[in-house]
Amino acid sequence: MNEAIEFENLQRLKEGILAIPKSEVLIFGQMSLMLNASVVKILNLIQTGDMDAKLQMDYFTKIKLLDFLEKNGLVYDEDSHLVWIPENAKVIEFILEDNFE
Amino acid sequence: MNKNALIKKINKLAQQDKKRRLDPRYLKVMGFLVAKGFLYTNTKIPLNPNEHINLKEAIWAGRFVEPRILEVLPAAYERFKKHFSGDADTIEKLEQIIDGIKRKNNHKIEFYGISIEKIMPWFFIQLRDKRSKPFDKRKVSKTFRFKPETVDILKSLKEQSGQSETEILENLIADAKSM
Repeated sequence: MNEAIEFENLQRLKEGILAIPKSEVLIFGQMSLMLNASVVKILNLIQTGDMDAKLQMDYFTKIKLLDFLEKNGLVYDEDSHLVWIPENAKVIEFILEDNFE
Repeated sequence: MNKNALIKKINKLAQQDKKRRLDPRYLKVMGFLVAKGFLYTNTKIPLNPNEHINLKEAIWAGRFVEPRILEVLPAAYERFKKHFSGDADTIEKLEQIIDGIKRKNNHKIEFYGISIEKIMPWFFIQLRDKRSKPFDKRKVSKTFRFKPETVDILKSLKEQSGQSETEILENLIADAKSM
């Protein structure tokens, strides 16, 4: 995805269009537990292909993300904004790319 | 209930849950659903993509151990019917869900307390084996009667383009739609 955005940005640069801004994916729910090594050590987890997340990204990037998830048997939950996040919840940086975090 | 009694009750339930997660009925259905790509787990369980699943056992595992099993079970049944067997009532219930999704008429359908909104997405996901097509990407058989010269043209287009006859017709229809 990072490469696809870089390629798109090159095209946009040539055409004098604004580049795609950096995207942020904040994963919640079961998938966030699955990605947390310290939680995985102590809990037996099971999940469906449902991804709850807060997405801050350009429409181009979102389409690429949804396509990537679909190809991998996963589904983005469009109701993710309804997920309750406790006040003392911590954000752990997981992926840091030029176009993503 | 005081604090100690509550802790005692929680511990008892945790022990019961631990025991149930070793039950062959649970391991069998989980081994199948994880192998097919409907569920993911961080624990090692024996994968059984070719397993035969008894629906009664799968429903037990869903009701008493892991509710996510009930969430994906109707889709798993629809995609891999030959792997499942069960009583007439359960099969009828599952067929009603499938029919409701096909007709996009999902009012008040639920499966052991799981709403249709939770059940539906798994009918449309891409599975690991790539052989089982999602609900909305399956080809539908349709018969037409063409004039012989139309058939000749279609064959010649097939040879020229390297596409199948179906692909040629689908592209023509897509072009006609976009005009």
